[in-house]
Parts: sequence; structure tokens; C-alpha cells
Amino acid sequence: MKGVYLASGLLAVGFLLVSCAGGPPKGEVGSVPEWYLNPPQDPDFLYAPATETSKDLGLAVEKARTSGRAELASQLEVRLQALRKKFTEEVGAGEDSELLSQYSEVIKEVVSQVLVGSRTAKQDVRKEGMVYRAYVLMELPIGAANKALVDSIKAREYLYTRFRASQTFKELEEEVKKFEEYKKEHGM
Amino acid sequence: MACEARAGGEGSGRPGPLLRLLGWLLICLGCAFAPGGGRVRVHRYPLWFLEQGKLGGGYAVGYSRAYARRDTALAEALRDAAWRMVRSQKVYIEAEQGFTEDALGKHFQGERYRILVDTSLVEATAGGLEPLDVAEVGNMLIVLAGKEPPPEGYKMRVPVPSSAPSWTTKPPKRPGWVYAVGAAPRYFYLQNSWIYAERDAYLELARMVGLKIWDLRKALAGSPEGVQMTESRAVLLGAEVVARWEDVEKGAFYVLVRMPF
Repeated sequence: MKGVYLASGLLAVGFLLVSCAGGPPKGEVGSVPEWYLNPPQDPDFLYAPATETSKDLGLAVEKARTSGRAELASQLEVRLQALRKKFTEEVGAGEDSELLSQYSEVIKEVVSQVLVGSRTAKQDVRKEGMVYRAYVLMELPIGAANKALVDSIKAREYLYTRFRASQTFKELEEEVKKFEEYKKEHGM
Repeated sequence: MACEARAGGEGSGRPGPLLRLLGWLLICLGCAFAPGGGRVRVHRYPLWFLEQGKLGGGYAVGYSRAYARRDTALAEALRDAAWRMVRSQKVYIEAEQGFTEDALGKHFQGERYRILVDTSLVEATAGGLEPLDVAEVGNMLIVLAGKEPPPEGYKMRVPVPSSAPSWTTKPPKRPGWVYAVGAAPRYFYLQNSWIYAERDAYLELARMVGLKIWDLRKALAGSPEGVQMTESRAVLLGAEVVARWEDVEKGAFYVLVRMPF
């Protein structure tokens, strides 16, 4: 009789483990996307592949996008630096000091860029155990490819600038300022 | 059954083996049917929800929890639909994010964002909207609001496709439009998953329009350190939801949005 109870108990534990396990994890670590290893080459676009992980799916994608965009910004800076270097060579100024400054940039790199039209060309989210891994390929149209988008964005910027410059907006700002002071005075 | 169990435990003051077995089986069933447990329910959504972009203009989808009082849930969903319709006309988005980087990887340090619409238009818009179809999916209530009935066949309830639509991995590129995909994990309240995925897609559209990025990287004695900040401010005109997809296996929710330019 004891054996029957033991067998039943084991069966129940088995059921519990199988039910709670949720089956074998699917869509897990597979091959890395081909475009991540070999990003496309196009004279009208800059590309930056990136990958990041997080327990939160949205955050994994967001971190990867930001890394990709930072890389795009860095690529733009490199282009600008290359142009500056060429200019220096043409005027033939201070070769030694230039070399020194380039060396210091290798260990401390600062990028500050405005990206217009950067977007996700491809993305792939995978589950690796308890975390999500997001692969993204960010692209930035440059030259002629970006003209229509930039023109449209400038029109929107103009719209917003006009709104900020309007009398109504100024009134709103003043009222908000007064309200903030009132709150401060009354300890709200 | 209950009598036998009591008899088994007689004298010891402890539950009998059969009762214990029953307890184990109940736990197993509980685990198997709990959300995130062994089985995940494949929801059936109205077609207008999964393929909203095909309906054309003049429609909005609103979300609410499926409260016990259906009229309360419907009123909330209708108001939400009105807000989303106003947002699709014009929305101002401000977003900032901060990250740090070290040898272990990139770490999220927080974000701040504001999504502003002309709220004075929401009441007026809500007054002119009719609930064209209402669906309860899981613990969520969704409403299709508009003035004209949707095209034939769009009220049909369908399970989410098991294979991922191509736009989840490769956002479309069509002349005159920019597209963005938003993603979110599964939350207890189903509508939160969809709302966060939609918000993510709108924030991504704003970042496409213009993004200021600061990136500082240092490598001292072989240990890399970095700080990244992003900031975007944009007015989006005519940005709308095109499609939605739920990845049942991975517990992920995707929303595709687009904006004309």
C-alpha cells in the first residue's frame, strides 16, 4: 500500500514539474542574424548593428536602438574628423600636436550629434533563458535619400517654433510660472 | 471521496494520503492553467484590432479593463478611443533617456517623457464617436469607435497568427510614409501590454524625426565606462496604428505605427 502512495506522490510531483516548466523554451539562442554580422553597404545610408539584453523586452529593444544610434552618431563624427584632418594636412599646420590630440581621443571619445531620420531597418528579439536579447540594425539616410524626410521634419519644426512664438503660448508660460510660484509660497 | 480521505487520516490528525494526492493534483492544475504557466491562452481578437490600418481613416480603438460593470468599461474605452483619435491628428512628444555602460554592459538609468494632445478636443471628439464593435479579450475590453460601420468581415474574431508578420522584424518602407514598431512584454492586464507597445512605437517615431544624442566613452586601464543621453522633441501629425501582433510563445506584443511625410 505504501508503494502505491509513493508512486502516486511521485506521479503528482512529475505532473507538477512538467506543468510548471512551461515546455522547452522555444525561439532561443540560435544563429546570430546575418545582417548583424555583415551589415549592408549603401552609399545613401549609414548602418549600425547593435545587440543588448534585458529582462524587459521593451527595454532590450530600446537599449539596442540607443547603442545603434550612438554608433551612427559616432560614424558621423568620424566623417567630420576625417574632413578636419584633411583640411589640416592641406594647410600643413602642427603635425606633432595633431598626433598628440588624436591619441587622447582614443581613450576618451565624446559624441554629440543630432540625428534626423534614424530608423530601425531590421530587428530580431530572442529569448535567452530569463532575458530577452534584441538585435537591431539602425540606418540613417544620408545625402539625397534623406532630403524628403529632412524637408518634412523642418516643416514640422517650423510649425512647433511658430506655436512657441505665439502669444497664447507666452500667456500659458506666464500662467504656469505664476502657478508654480503660488504652489511654492503655499508649500504645495 | 471526501469520506475516504477523512477515514485515511483518522487518528493521526493529519490529512490522509488521498487528500494529499488531491491537493497535489489541484496544485498541478493550477500551475498548468495559470498565466505564464504551462499553457498560455491564444487570444482571439477582432480583425479590426489586428489590422486597424486597413480600415482607413475615421476609426479609433480604445482600451479598458473588462470591469464587472460593462457600461463603465465601455465608457472608459470610448473616452480612450477619443483620446487616441485626437492623438492621431496631432501630438507633441518629449522624451529623454539615460544609460551607463561598463564592462558588464549597458544599464538603463531612467527616462522621462510627455505625450501631449489638445485635451480640449477629446470631449468634443468623444461626443461624435459611436461604439461600432466591442470585444472582451482576456481581462481587457476594446472598442472600435467611429461614425461609419467598418468594412464587411472586420468584426470577425480571429486567433493571432502563429508566425510573425514580416513588419515585426523589418518595418515597411513605402514612399511618403515612415514606420515604427513598438514592443512590450506581457503584463497581467492585457491592455497594458498593448498600450505600452503603442506608446513605444510613438516614442520611436519621435526619435526618428529628431534625436539629440550625447555619448561619452572612456577606457582607462582596460575598463570601459560610458554614459549615453538621448533627447527628442517632435510634433507628429497624422501618426496612426497600422497593425498589432502578439507573440504568444515569447510573451511579446508588437504594434506598427506610421506617419505621412
